[in-house]
Amino acid sequence: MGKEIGRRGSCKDLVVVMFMVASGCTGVVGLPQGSSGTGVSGAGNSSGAGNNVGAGSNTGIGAAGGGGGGTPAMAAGLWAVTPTTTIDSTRAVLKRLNNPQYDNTVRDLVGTMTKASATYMFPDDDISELFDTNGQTLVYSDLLFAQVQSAAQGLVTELLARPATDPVRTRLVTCTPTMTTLGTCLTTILTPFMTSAYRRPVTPAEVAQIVTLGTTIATAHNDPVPGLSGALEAVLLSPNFLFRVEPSTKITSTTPTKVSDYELATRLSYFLGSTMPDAQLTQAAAAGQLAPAGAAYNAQIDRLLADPVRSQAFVDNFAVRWLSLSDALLVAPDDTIFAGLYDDALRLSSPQETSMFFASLIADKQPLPTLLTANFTFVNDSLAQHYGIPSPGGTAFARVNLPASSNRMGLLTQETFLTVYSQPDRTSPVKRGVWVLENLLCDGTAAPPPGIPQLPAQGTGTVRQVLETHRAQAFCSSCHNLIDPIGLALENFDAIGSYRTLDNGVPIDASATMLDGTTFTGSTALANYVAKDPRLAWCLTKQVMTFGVGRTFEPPDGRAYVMGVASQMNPNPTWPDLIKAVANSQAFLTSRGESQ
Amino acid sequence: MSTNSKREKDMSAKISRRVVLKGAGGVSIALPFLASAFWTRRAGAQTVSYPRRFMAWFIPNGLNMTTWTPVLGSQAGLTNWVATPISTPLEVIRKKMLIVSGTDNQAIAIPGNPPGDHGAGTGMFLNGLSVNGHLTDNTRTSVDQLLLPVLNPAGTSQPKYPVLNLGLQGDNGLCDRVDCTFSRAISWIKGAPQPNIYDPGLLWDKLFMGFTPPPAAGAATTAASATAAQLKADQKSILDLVMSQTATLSTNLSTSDKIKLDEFNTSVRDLEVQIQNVSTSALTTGCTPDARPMAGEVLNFDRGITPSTILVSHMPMLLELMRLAFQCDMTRAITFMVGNGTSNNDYTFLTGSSSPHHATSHHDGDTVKLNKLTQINTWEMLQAATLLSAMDKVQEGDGTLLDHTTFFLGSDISDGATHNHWDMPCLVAGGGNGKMQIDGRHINYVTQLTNPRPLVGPKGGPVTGRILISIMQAHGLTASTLGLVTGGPLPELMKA
Repeated sequence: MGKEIGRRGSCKDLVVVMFMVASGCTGVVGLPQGSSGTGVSGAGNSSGAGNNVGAGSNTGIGAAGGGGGGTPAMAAGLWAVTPTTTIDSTRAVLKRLNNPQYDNTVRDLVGTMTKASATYMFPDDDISELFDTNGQTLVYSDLLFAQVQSAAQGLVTELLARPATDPVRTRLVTCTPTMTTLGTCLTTILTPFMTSAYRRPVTPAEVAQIVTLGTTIATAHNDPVPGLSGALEAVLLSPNFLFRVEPSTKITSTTPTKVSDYELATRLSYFLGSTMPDAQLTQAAAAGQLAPAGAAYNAQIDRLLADPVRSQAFVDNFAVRWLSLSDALLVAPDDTIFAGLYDDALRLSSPQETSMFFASLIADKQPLPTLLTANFTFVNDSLAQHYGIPSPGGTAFARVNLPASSNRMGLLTQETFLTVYSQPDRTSPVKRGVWVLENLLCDGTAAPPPGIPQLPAQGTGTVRQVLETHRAQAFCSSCHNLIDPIGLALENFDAIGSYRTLDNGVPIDASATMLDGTTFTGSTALANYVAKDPRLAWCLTKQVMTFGVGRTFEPPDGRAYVMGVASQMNPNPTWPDLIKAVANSQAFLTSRGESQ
Repeated sequence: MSTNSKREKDMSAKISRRVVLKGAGGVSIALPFLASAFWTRRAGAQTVSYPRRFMAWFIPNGLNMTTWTPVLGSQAGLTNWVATPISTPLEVIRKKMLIVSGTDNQAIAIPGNPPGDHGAGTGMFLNGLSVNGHLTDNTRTSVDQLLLPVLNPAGTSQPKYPVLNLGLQGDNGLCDRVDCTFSRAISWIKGAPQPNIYDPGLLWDKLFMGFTPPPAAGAATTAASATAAQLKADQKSILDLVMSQTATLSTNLSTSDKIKLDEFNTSVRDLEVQIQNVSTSALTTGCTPDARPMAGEVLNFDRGITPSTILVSHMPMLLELMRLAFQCDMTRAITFMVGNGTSNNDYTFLTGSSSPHHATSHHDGDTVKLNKLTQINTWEMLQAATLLSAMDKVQEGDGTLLDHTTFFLGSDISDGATHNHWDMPCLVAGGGNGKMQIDGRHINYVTQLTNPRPLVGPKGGPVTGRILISIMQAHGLTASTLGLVTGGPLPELMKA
């Protein structure tokens, strides 16, 4: 227990962050970095955060000020910056397609039925700040390109092996090349294919280059087929396909300028569907309707969010790590303690629940804090039994309302979160607390310093008692007074997420005293408390921007800008509102070069 | 040879991997290596010499230091250590290894914020450069990559793969407060992490697919080989075009974007070289691969394939293929991760009850967890010992494959409950290119240990990375620093 770790931290020094007061108009109180005195009322403004929160609008958006950057900062900890709508200084770097983007793109481009990155064993993508979309972090290694080449060969073989009447083949292979018609036919096939693959109009010279290659190969074999397949392979290996190139970027200018219509179509399509633009998006780009970022652009966003395949891709790729869905498959509860209580049916069900739950927040246009306060979820029989609620009947999932007697509400009482952030043999209020701080509030705890002495094992006491011993040391309390109360409020849920009233035979004490002095008991009160924290909306904005723009917003001016983007939303924003705010942000709409 | 060296010059690649073959009647290519001043063990005594290899073996989550660190025996001298449970499997190669205790990584592993003990300890493992959050550092290059020029001297025969980065697939879960990449890769080229091959089937394909002994000089070209040659030519044409497109694209990109395209272009060029090498790699007489292992066994809970299943089934295949990769001169550098940093691979198969590695390593002094940790660590060391002793059975001239290899084993941290980076567990084995004194000693830099050995050792001692500098210098590099590590080689490891 000495030191338990979260996903990643982002903290400087031992910053003490105080939770803002959940009710009333005190605004956010905290200690700026490096200060050690009593709490400092945020920048002397009590009309921003305080009013909104006090009014119980449970979004806290107003805390970032009324747009335009006019209102001073009202935040503590890592959010102790002045919000601004002026774009920050970090530049997004050229992005290669990551594995899910590659999979979905070749699905749409050549109609493959396989998940290519798995079939051809691509290495895992590089992850930065929870997401796999950061161009700076995504690398081309020898191993990756070798597998991409295998995939290109395999995908072209798969395409050309389709029967002549196959719709995908008919759409792509629009003529049958012979040795005498080779040049003409290849040009006919390649021009639309390359336009799709490069996600922009192509020049005759670009097509001619590939046609020449195909002709050379066909001539060497005295057979048109290898020429055609070689040409198609070359397109699938082109950097114009494998990277999201944005030729409109003024490479020596650091001033952000709007990207072209085609580039914006590509950005939007990969943000919301992890795939290439579809025909409608491409047509809108060709008609010049997107770059103004007006009604036509927002209509495309609505359309993509309503598209079941694309919206599922957003859920899968945005939420998979943020909400720990992949980790849920790998937990290993202690089978001597939880024998007969935890099985693979449960293991497989829990990420499905959280995934469907998150999808519904978008589809049903739920307010952001409903993530924490929803009185509904999705269960199959296995989960229903685990939660002690009526079974929907069968292995299929159904949306169910959570009665108060279930003691469950929102994400923090879902199996995925509770189990992933436990030890195999006991709960871990520290892990749970750190996750809430880092992933929902994007605020840091200091990483544990080196040289921490060992702590005794739980023995006969409760986890709470062990942590109290721990916090009794001033060395530990500076951070753990912040972390532990969050987790302790969840102590009614054991290491496999079952509701309980006893720990080691001792009645559970799920009371929590937050740093601001607020006291409450149990998971529901905790969820309501966190739901009202203004950092929640800022953090959710930051997470979606990091994923969607594909770069870090971690430096202080990145956070200030995130707060500015959040401030542009209507009060009480919904999940689609958030997605639109990100897609309409300057960071999303523009690119810039760098001084040489 | 003159034609070959001309071809070498024609290759614009940074280091050509073309293998020079000495036709020996076409039946078996006994030994692929021609005399080279660099490799000749005894000048004038031999005309054939063997390549030098490097291998780095990463163990996650530290060790149970009480049951790892050997204590001194009754007799004088550093070779008279008494094996502990975890070091017992290594007895089989005891005389060809060194246990190095008491080196201190703390200052470099934990420089600032956020430290992230496991992620930082793994991220700097082979490069000596501190890890900081998600920041990239274009100077991060690992020892395996740095050694390439001396392992594969220009103008001599080249292996198919400059480096093979391998690992056991498993729980990728925790990233410990820094970018996950730092926990997943130990091989780095200028800030670019090199991902591991996990699948034994894929590794087999990389090594042996399309592999046929090269035809004897003057033998008639068969139709099949003509087609194969044409297919290779096709691939070359395609990749040439890709590289030309990349060059065109690159002219209209910012500096940071160019770096990304450069990484891409390097990977295209390397593949082109590998394809050309595919059927000309040397196959020594002892170099016959077993049948291809089962491919694509991936996590699938529906089918009962768990991280634990993969651990058990993949490890022996990977050990065998690693030996073959060296023996067949497919590569001269291998990195291997028994698990990612902070690995939570479950070792129930050893302990009888759920034992996720990272969670178990947080033992809090609990006897049950410490015993489980000892079992896990002993298994890990048994795997290393299995490979090392297999390599020691491969005769190469008057030495063995192990003698021609320098092997380094280490971890991200020391004790798992306290996350120390001092008193790091380290092992060096093999020949040290004849320049290192690898003779069965237990070198302890901080204190002479008594029994019972404490779980948490003392601070101090030289920086752990100096072991790597010792290896680099033994293999002919002149650098006396590695990342932030200074101080040059450790004299105790080097021959006088």
